Amino acid sequence: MRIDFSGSCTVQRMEELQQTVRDAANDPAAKVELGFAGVEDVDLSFFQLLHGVRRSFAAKGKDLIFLEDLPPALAPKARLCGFSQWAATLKDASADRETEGARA
Amino acid sequence: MSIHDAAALTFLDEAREMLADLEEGLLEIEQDPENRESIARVFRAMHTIKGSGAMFGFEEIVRFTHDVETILDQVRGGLVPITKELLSLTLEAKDHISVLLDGPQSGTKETRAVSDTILARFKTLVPPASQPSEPGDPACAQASENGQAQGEQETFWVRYRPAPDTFLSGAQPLALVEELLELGSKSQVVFHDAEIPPLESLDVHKAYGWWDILLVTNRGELAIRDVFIFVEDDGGVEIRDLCQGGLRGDDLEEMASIIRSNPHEISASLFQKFNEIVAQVHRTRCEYRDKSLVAAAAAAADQATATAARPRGAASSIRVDAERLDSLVNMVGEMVILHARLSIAAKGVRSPVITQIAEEMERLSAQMRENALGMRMLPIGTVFGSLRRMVRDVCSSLGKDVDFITDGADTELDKTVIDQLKDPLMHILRNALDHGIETPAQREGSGKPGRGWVRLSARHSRGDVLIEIQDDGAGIDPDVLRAKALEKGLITPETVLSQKEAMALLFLPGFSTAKEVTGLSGRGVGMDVVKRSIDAIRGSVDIDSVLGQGTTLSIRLPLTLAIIEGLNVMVGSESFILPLVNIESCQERFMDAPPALVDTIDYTGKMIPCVSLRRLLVTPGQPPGYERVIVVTVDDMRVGLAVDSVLGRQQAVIKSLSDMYDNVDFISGTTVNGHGSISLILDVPQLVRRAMRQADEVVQGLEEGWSRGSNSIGKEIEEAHPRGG
Repeated sequence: MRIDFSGSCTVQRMEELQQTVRDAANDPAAKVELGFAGVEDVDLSFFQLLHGVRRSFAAKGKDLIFLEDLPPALAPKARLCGFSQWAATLKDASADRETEGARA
Repeated sequence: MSIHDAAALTFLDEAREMLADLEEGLLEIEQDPENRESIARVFRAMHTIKGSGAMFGFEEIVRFTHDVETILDQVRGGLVPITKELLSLTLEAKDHISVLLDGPQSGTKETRAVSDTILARFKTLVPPASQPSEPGDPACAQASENGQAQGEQETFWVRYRPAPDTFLSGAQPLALVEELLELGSKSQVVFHDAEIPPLESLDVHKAYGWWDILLVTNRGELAIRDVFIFVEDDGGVEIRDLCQGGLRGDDLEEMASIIRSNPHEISASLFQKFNEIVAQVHRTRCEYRDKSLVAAAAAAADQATATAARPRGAASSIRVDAERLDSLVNMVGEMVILHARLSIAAKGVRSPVITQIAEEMERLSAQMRENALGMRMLPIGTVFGSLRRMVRDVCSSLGKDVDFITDGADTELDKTVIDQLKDPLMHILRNALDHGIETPAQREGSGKPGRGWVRLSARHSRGDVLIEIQDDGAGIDPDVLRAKALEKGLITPETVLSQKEAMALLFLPGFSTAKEVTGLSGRGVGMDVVKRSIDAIRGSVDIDSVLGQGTTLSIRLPLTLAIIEGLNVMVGSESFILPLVNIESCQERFMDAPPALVDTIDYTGKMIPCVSLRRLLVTPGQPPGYERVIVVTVDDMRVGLAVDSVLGRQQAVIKSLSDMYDNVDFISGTTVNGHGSISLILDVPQLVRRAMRQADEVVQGLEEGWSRGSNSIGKEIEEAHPRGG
């Protein structure tokens, strides 16, 4: 299944976004893709959510794919919040995918 | 109300406080332009308003304060001179921000135009070389950087651990980190995500992640602290100056690796490793500086160890809505009444257990009362700041040089009293500046220094707060007062007025001695309003003046308007409360004849007046043969108040009288007693003054009758002022 984040992904909407990814985590589908092309704004709470998602999926052994389509303007923020590898490739927002499910 | 609405309201409150702080700082700078601390304080206030305004979407405030802040930064760096014009304009900018706070977040067409006008005027005060670039100009950032007095490059380590509830206060940790990085030419950032829980247990409103940042900058530690200025109180920001001079990117990367391998603590070993890198760099660069550098780094490591051992402190204060405090005080008041009922019931039951509970509750309710009222106490200095600005502006418009001296700013008063005190104080100060203080030429002509002074002081005095406004101006001429009173028909040509009575004329409605109406005063509206305002908060006001030397206006105010300690007394079947602060002692007297309105009694070997409340309040029924006399102090004079009996001490929760009792000046309120009855709370000074006035009127009236040939009233004179005790 695929989840596309869009608009302002900041603390004001974080409960809603958390519920969305929780539903996905409980979905029987073996693989979940997260897309970021429509994201307009982010803050620390959003990247904390992504870290939390990554931990949960790793614990459950489910595959989690972060699509590398975060708008380039937001890449520096991602880098500052621990997504340096991911953010480093953002300039080339290709369809290359990094499978995060395998990361501990 | 959502969390963010609440946070935005908190921002508005805090921004107004910041503006008050900013204004105070500007006025301090005006007095002492070299005061670097005040300059930094003003800059920080402006920076905080901008930063927190951005969090809550106050776009126009951000736009406006950005440019003003840039200029203040240049003032701080010594690039822009401090002039009276600059300070006046900055004060104007502060007023404008206040207007912007009350308006829509993006401003209105009108307020944006005012912003542009003020900013344009700022530009005329800034030397061309220091002009800030237009927003959006690629050179802007560089110009701004250059605007700061640039020093040597330094390498800083910054650890920023946002408080868990930082989002609730509207802070944006990531934005702060970005802002920090803008200060530097080189940086390394290590984000710590280990404490972020898995999705299931993640509280999305909490901050878990934190940063270690290595930054090479020439902006200094102060600029770094400014970034975190409104989250610093949370205790999550630590800054260390690792070394003078910028380290190479490789060195920073090596330090970042050390941090990654020691993510959870600031240990001495961590800093030791930093220090080794720093020392190596400096050995290479400049050997002779090596020793001092290592010493400084070792000291930093020691300090870091000490900091690591120190527990992160909790917030020392919280912001509480004033209505909640009022509600708490009301509830405590109700509890006091309930306790009084319990005490009466306990006496009826005669149960030791119930009596003990009632006594413990009495102790507890007294403590609660003290604490609840204490929460509403504010230093009077909170009003002084805005008055200082008013004095400055008024002096400027009148062309007068005046020192405004304040004393006792930490004297505390109930918030309600403070709120109602500001307008009367403004009025009094305006009068002092407009009519009291002469122009410099007039002063010099009369042998005074050209610069005058007005002193505003506050202190505790006999259970009240005494506020004095004193000036060294022309003083008030009692003959002018008398002439004005004659002209208005308030007195007859034969009337003899004491100095005090003449001064009291100033409090009559429409009475003004001002020769001309100015924009500030002179319309005869003012001092009577001042008196009414002070009366409304159970205070009193007096004027004393020496012609040619100045005027002193004294305001005496109660500490609180909510609950007082009183003595419950009976006169006939009526119950009254006398505030304990007025009472000095109790004694008794035997009566073998009906009491006179004002009598005399022996008190510690001296004769003092004694007012019969029974006569004054026209209480029906037979007077007792044995009266209690409560000795009180009024206007520095001891006076006895004769009552039928004393029931005991009582905490009286003050309930206001309705407006129809406004003219009854000797009753300050009512209270509900334990058994549900009502007691009137007496305003002792007013009560005594009224009694003395009545007695004088009776004597005067009767003496006039006597002089007309009637001697049938000698007995009445004897009753009003009996000879002997």
